[in-house]
Amino acid sequence: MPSSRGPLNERHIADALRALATEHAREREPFDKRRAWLRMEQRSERAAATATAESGRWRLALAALVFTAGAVAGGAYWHSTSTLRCEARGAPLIEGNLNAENAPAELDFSDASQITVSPHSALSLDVVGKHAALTRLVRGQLHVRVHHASDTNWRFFAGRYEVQVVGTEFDLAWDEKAETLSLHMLSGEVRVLGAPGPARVVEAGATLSLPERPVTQAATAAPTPPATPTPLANEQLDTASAERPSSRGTPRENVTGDWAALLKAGQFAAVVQSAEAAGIERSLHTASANNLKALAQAARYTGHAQLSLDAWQAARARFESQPLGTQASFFLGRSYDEQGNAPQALRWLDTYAREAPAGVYASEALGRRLVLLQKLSGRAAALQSAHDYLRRFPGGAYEKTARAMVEAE
Amino acid sequence: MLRAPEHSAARELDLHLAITSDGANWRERAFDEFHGLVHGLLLKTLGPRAEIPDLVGDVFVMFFSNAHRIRLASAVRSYMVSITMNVARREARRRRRREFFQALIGSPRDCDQEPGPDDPKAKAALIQLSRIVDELAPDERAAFVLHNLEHMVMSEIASTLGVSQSTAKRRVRSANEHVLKRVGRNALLADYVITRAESSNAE
Repeated sequence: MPSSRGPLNERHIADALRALATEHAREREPFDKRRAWLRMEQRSERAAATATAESGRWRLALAALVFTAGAVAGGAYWHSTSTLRCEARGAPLIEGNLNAENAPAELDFSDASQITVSPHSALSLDVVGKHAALTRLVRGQLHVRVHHASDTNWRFFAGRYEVQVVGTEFDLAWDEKAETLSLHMLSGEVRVLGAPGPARVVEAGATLSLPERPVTQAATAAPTPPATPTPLANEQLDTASAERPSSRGTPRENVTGDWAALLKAGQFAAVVQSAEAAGIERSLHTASANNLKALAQAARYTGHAQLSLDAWQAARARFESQPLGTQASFFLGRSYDEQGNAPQALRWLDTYAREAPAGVYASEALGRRLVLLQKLSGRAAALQSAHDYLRRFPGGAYEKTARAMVEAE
Repeated sequence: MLRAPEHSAARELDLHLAITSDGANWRERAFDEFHGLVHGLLLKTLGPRAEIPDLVGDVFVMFFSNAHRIRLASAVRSYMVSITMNVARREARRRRRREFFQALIGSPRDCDQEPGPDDPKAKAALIQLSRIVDELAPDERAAFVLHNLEHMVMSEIASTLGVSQSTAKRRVRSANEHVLKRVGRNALLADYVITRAESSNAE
């Protein structure tokens, strides 16, 4: 205990914890807000059903506790119904991101799956179900062993490629500079999407290098549908033997299918592929509002920045008077901002702020606008916006920035 | 602070009107208005964890289903706090059960979310304090957060948690004793806490 400043008391703890938590909340809020909104949209559609299921699970858990012979049986039951959990060793897993520096790292999962991350490799991980996870390999190499279960659904993204797994062991490498993917199968099989041509099934013993390098052994055009095919997957497989359009040109298929559902299921590459198969231009001009939004988001997640931008442009042009058109202006602003095109970003953020002054993204739009104004025209030009921001969003994510401008006045 | 500042009272009145008349975008407006409050409360109660945004989403789903029943504009905020604390307590109980069974069957613990690395000392302190608060029973934890971190008075805590004032007072006292004892055992953490508390009071 420190002696020079008097003894520790309850007030110290409360003040320190409040300050630390508030600071952390400010850092996290912009990111968490988007995820919370997404979660809410998903939950609100099935809130009633979920409430019933929750209640059912509670009763079941209680019954198991009361009537099973012992705590071990109860534990085993709970284990079987819980979601996938993981433990990182060798490097911290920070908000789903793992960055292995000079030593390998390991992710051990509760279903006995395991990912070994080679040194100088980075990945992000999202657990999305009991036997389902989305992993983006940012760079480097992984050794993956996915435990097979009836509902296993793991996706590995690397650049524009997607490896779909239902239980297998393989090595996966991604060179972010050369944009090359290398997959070596040790057991089982996987489906690979994102390469020109149809989805490929890669079997044990085979090696696949993308792009432009031949499969050495068993990688073949997908001869059989997956265990639980989606309408889109069927569509892709039906056209597997035909040449795939390599550009934004000739459409061959109808712009159909529920891309929003695919997006929710984490099948980002499949959404982009479906749009490509139907012809990008055609998709942009004829896809429904929901599909267009899903395409814009999926393109962003899979690294197709230009396609994402085009999809938002199309959404803006085609649905200008609808909520999607308004939202599109915000996402256009954000996309341009991320690309470093400040004037365009400012223009679209202004549009959003004008059209949706109380919109869900209003706080972020004004905050980004504030930063851009300062960058483009200097602090004096941004001062009024800083005052506006503090008045409208006290405690908002850009409060510090706005306050700094005002106080420096 | 849980109490609405003066300038936001008019916004809440406006929002309440929008809710009761099912006005345009009232959900988006409510989300924007209260996201910071809900996010902060969950973070303070449960610590910096990966599932916080999902829980925030759950709170708003519940709020949207029931908001039309709120009769007074002044009750919107306290209703939101009640839902949030119920979700936090439910999550705390769920975590306790899960950890019990995980320990029992020897399966790995959940991945903790570790905050960003910009101020490692602050982050380490936050994680350590959150773990200590994590040791409290869910009901005590909720009372601790509302009293110490949100400056609620006992009558408000009792009303929010649906207990008597004496129960609320007992929970706060018990939680304070536990946290003070646990922090006091860690000299480095205690030193940091005092420094941090003094600097935040000076700001």
